[in-house]
Amino acid sequence: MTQIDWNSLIAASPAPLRSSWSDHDQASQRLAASVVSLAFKKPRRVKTTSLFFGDADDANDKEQKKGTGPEQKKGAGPVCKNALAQQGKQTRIKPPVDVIKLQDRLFYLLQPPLETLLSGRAMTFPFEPFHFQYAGIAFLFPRHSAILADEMGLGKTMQAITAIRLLLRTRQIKRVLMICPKPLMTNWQREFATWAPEITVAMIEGNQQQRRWHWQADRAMVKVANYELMTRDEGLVTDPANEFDLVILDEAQRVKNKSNATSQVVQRIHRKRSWALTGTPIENSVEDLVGICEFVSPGTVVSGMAPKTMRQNVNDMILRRTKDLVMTDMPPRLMRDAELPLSPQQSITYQAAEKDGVVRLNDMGDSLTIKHVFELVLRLKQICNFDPATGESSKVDRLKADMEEVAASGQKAIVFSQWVDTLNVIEEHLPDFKPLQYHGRIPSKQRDPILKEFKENPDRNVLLMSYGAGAVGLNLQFCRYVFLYDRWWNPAVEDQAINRAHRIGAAGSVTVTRMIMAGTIEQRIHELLEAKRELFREVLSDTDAPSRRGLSRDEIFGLFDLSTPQGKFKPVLDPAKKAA
Amino acid sequence: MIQSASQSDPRLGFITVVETPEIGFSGGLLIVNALGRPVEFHCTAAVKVNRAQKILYGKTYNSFLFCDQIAASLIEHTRIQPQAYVTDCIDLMPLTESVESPVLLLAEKSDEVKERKDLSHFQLHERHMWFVNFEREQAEPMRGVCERFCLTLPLEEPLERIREAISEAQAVAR
Repeated sequence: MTQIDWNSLIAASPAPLRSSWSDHDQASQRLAASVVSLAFKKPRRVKTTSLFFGDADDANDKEQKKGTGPEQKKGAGPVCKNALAQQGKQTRIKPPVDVIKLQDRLFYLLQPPLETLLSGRAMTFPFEPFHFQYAGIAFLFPRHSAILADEMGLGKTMQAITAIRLLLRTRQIKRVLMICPKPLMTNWQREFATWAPEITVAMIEGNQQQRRWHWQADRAMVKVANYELMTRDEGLVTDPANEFDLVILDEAQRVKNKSNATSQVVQRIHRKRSWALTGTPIENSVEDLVGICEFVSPGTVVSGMAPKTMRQNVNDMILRRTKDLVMTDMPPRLMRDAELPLSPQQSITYQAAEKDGVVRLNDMGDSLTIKHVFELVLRLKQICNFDPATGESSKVDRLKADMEEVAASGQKAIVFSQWVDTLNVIEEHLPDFKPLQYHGRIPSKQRDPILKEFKENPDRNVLLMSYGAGAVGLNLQFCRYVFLYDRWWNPAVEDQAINRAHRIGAAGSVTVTRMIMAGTIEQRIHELLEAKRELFREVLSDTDAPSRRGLSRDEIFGLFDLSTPQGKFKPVLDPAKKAA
Repeated sequence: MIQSASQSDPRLGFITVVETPEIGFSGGLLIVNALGRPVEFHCTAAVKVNRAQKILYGKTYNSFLFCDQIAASLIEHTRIQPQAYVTDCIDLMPLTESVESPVLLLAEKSDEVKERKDLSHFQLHERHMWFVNFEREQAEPMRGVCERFCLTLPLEEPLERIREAISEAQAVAR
């Protein structure tokens, strides 16, 4: 029989057993030992998964600590104090559903809360981001395909820049291309300087030769280009040798039509990550989302897909928050509708124009097109703004009165119109308030100085803007008053205009006055737009419902109770009711 | 080869065992740097309770399972030796005997812990850190390291990450 070496067995036995064994007699010990020698001779090891993290990003931090990092050189603001983390509000980075490999998923799950991650990397911020902004950064950071669709004014720019910054710091990306509308290029340059001064930014501009050099040079981490350049520089931007780690489309609703030339080019850019930023992912219909997704994640949604399926497919890819949801402490936006009577002369001109116009449209029979109706609408809207013969205007009288109050309280206002000609006439009526103009006819290079003058000169009380030029990307939160002198066709565009002033950092409540001439085409359009706004709210809370936001062909015909070439117009606003 | 963490760049190892009904016990070890960033992570497959072993080991079964099977498997794979192991699992305290770094238990002053005469503790803000008496010389200097870490993150936070990671691994395995 094999002799058991009792002392060795005790020494080799699991620690918890050692002390208890000493109490037993020799015989019991031998019996136990023989069992243990069979069952527990050597504890079996358990299958283990291991993950080792690189130290690449630590090198960056060590530089920061030594004071040789780029931020110290530039003397940026204070290090983020991680105030939210101190309050116990922490944002965790979650892996997207399209990350399949366990190791990749664990990589994100095992990161410390974002607030700690950022403060540990000695990242400076001009001010502490809001909790929902951290959530937005945590959303973008791990995603290769993402749509950040926050309502205007919630800081999409800052969230995108910080996510880029974190990706650059962790060396997950090196080359970034930002594509935005032309008027916003300088805005992005400024925002990068504010939020990430260490990131080098190159603006793709100049003549063809200069642009070629910019596209091919690799001196800046981020290249900023505009949509208009995409078709002109197609060969360069879609060159396989010119691959980007990340391409971001700002105001991505520009590519909602997937078949237009610009969309076609951006879809062909060689890239590893695709992000879209837009406050209005659904501008006219859910098909808009198809266009944006064609860039972000081709094939995820397709035309004609059931809204419910579409929603499921984009669920992990899209993040949308509204001010009502996240900015409970944001100053309120006060909407007031100034329903004004036409001046006597305006009324005479308007009635004549409408009567004459409707008669002519009805006489056109089958040759009547939407273009003819549209022309009449525009004509009537212009009369609502100013009487063409006398220049009389109830709106401008009201605006002058309101501006007295605005200026007396040391505040500033923005006045929006769809026509530059209208803005010119308004300017003539408001000399006391030293108006400035900002619209498509002002050359790009003169626009920033105009905004600077408006912000810094206390005598400049009013900025006259066109919807087209002033609707997106500008930060005018120092203005407490917004006047919509005439109405745009699409409530989303109006919202964007209003949100130039009503955004994070707003000094106080923002009063928005919508000027509507009672009993006119403006009032009819207003009612339609309000109904659509209601529908949009419904769609955003439940994207199962299809959305149409601008005025449709039938609705435009319906403004004058006209027959469409296919028959009498019957207004139906809710597609669900229509289906029923 | 296992490297020791330097004093200037301390590493803490957070280790815990999670029980999932019908799946078993899984262990996780997360080694982080002073900023709370992950350096290494190891997790085990789930281990089901062995009835025969449970009978034979009696009260000491959990320590055998947690330390000799699960923790030993985790530590075997490490490349860096942390300055201390932090756990919230009292059954991992016997690990003290088999690793060079001190093992600190993060636990409330519960009856279960107070009954253990072999444990001493120090207070860190509102938390209690327990260690085995004979490790006093090694464990007490760890108070400074833990205090510095608490400036960045609560000590419980990395343990929470381990639990999430284990849950994720189990979800993927299914």
